[in-house]
Amino acid sequence: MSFSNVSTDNGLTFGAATLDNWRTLLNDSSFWDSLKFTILFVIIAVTLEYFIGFGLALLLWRPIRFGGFFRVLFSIPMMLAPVAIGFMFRMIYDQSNGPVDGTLQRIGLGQPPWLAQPHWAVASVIIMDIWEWTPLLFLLLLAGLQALPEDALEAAQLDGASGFRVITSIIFPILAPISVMVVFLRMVDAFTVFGQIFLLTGGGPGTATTSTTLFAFFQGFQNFNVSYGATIALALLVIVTAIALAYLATARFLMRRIEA
Amino acid sequence: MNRTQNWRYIPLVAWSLLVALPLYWVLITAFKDTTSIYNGARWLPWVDFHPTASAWHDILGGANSVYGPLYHSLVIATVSTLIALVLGSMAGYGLARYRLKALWFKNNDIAFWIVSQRIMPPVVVVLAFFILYKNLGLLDTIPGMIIVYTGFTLPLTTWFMESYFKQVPIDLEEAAYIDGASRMVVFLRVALPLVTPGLIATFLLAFSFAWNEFLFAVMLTSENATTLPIVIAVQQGQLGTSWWNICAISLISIAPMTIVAIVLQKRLVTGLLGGALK
Repeated sequence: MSFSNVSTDNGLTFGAATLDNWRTLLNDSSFWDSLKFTILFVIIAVTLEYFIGFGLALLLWRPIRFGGFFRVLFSIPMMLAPVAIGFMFRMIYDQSNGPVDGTLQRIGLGQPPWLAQPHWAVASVIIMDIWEWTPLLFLLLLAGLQALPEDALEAAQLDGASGFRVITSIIFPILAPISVMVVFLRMVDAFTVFGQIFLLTGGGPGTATTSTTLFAFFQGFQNFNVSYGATIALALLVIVTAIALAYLATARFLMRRIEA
Repeated sequence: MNRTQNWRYIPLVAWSLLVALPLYWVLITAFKDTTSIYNGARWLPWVDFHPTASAWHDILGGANSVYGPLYHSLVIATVSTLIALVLGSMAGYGLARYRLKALWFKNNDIAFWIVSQRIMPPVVVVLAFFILYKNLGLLDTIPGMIIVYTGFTLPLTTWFMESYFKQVPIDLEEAAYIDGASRMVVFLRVALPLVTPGLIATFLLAFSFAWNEFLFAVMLTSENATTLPIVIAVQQGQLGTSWWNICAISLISIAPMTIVAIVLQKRLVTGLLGGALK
């Protein structure tokens, strides 16, 4: 589809094959902007999710009272529909009627213009994603922690290693393969983020939070430029595949270095 | 670890509050009306505002009844997840237990090929599906949606099930073969029961995908196969946004998942493990 000109006037007809769409795409600054936002979003959100999830998993790893309660509560967000989350955060960020701004003002921190101002909007979207997806990393890393060989840990403790040393030099390396997989899954998913942002900001203000998926959707279904939408989508596929392969190769290389 | 580590509760409670605040807000908003939503933040029912059940009347029998979409969602998510689970566990078993070779493609290559579907952003194919379904007459039908969701969850189920089967010690199966059991019997009676936790975890992940999916639902359905996420989205209509309805429907849509998660939380943690170990 991306190589032709699909017209929606008369049913769906395919035009002659051309490279026009690809030429337009490469010169389309909105496409590059959307890509820039998407990559920034993925890097910040996934990094923070990983470290928060890892921290929470470490806290809940050893038997602790109310552990079951925390586990269930922490995993609820990822089971919510992205659509519901989008609406939910629109209420939370609401400047006059939401719960956050009023409280912040009362303790003297002013009113962040969450969704009204580009930088804040990007931050809002990232916070929403962290809220939604930290649970997945938390659960998978917790599962990994529970499979840790006990003897290695006991040996380290007998040697008098501090808690922090144990984490960095024993737990972290053992969890590396799982971490690579989990981050991979999450990263790939984050690239295709759609529903939440669509409902939270609609890509705005302006185009500050238009992810590439959103951009393809707008082009294809709101401007009815179906073949251009398909071109964007395909370009995204190529880029995500390239990044995913590069990530896996780097991760494998680093892991071999650790083992060696 | 016999030292008391009560400090651990500080970050745990802090994160709990962050998780719970939006959920609490949804819960109380489901019982609000226009006046109690739009005049500043109101936190406590009966103190700050008068709770009303009008949203619940509206969506459970009034003009905006959700029974239709709820039924579509249940059928589509359940059927597509079950199909994906049956096919996925068979494919996963095959990948885990047989040495396959198609040209230069070996087991690991096939597994990566299958999971690489997850790399593809759904928006890439949604347009193609739209055109395809339009020509096939599958637009806005329940079978159409089941096919799409099965296709999308199948890589996930295959991949997860493969790693669970790989964890099962092969001796048990070999013992069954010696006793004269056929392959199908070994698969059904020996291997499958051993991976039940994995099966549950995979079911949950696949089900929550199909239950919550938005992009395909919004593109491919309009009336006869709309799912709950779509109903949530259309509450933002020309007459203003019905926040209370959105919240009430959201609560309905997380209820089943939360109950299942509470029941299965211990098994889910051990079950997810295998998939992560891949």
